[in-house]
Amino acid sequence: MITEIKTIVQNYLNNSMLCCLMIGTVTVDGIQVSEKLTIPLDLVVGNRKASLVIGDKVRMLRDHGGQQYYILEVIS
Amino acid sequence: MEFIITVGDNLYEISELVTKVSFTDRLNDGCSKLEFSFIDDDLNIGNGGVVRFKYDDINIFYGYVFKHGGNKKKEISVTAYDQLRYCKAKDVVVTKNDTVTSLTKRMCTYFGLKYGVLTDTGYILPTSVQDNKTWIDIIYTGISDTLVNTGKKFALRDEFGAITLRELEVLQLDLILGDESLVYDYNYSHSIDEDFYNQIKLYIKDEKAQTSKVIASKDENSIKKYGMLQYFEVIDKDSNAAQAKSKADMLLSLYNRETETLTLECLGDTRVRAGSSFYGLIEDIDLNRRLIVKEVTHNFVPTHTMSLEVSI
Repeated sequence: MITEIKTIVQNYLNNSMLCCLMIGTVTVDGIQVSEKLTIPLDLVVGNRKASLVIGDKVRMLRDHGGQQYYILEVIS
Repeated sequence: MEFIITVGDNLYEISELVTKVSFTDRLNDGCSKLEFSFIDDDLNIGNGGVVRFKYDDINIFYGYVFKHGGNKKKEISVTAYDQLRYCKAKDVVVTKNDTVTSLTKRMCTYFGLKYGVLTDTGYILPTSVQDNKTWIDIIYTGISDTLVNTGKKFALRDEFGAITLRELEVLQLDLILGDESLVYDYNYSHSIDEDFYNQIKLYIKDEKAQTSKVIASKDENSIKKYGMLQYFEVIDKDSNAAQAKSKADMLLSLYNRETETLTLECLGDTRVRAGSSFYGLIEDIDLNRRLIVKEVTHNFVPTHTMSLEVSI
């Protein structure tokens, strides 16, 4: 029973996509955060978006739900 | 009846041995399932083996063994699922300029699954990132987004070893079920307890202009009859008032009706699967219209019967 509850809570948390910090690299298609996941620029917001250059490494804040990403800073 | 299973590299025809065959199919809720038992001494069925089942020369099921077990009486019971079972894997998916059709094609290619007719849904899904979600849920979400925005409903299913996407409209059968046709028992209920709304309120939040606006759509007669049941949703996407209004109207027509559930016990008809629709005719409950099958279980041994759950 306890194990099941733990699994359910774990799955729920994974699914709800809480806020978190992410680091990614700007590419042609969007911002690549892992080998599999490139975030389309449509979902990226923040006033630094306009000045991004391909190859920039950025730190982003993922909004709850995972459908919006706010650029906090350009690291390098 | 034709019942073929593969064990190792060999094919076995076991239609003479089976003691129970039941096929369950649900509309857009996972894969279809074939459960069967047979009595035999030395047939060592293994997981992953192919099961092929035809009844009256009609293709019923093509799938793979996922579970099997037995008892002292040498009765072996097996559960097999179709290809959609493999789509329960989680993945990271980015949808951009995708329709449900292109997503389904991507899924089939990714898992190496065979596909058949994939109807073009014609609705481009909003750009989104689906992280750590199962493929099949991503597709179902897409299907319900398509339904809300276009009013067309699609069914994802495996038809004898080929994944298909079809509009429910084309799955109409020329079949009547009711008082004088096949039905031998039924149960029904009417409810406004779930998914019933007669007033729709959409709240538009425009971040750029920093304004907000409420779009409403309601049915006065329905409110008088049932009391006001409100649906509320915040849309923070870039939709304008006209789009929101048409969405509100769409939601109202979708939700402003009593949900009726009906289960029917009938003699079998092999054409009936989840998503098919037939004409229901039962005088006692004033039923006289087309119904869509939500869930169906066919039992083939000793005689073919089916129990249906329909939504209206």
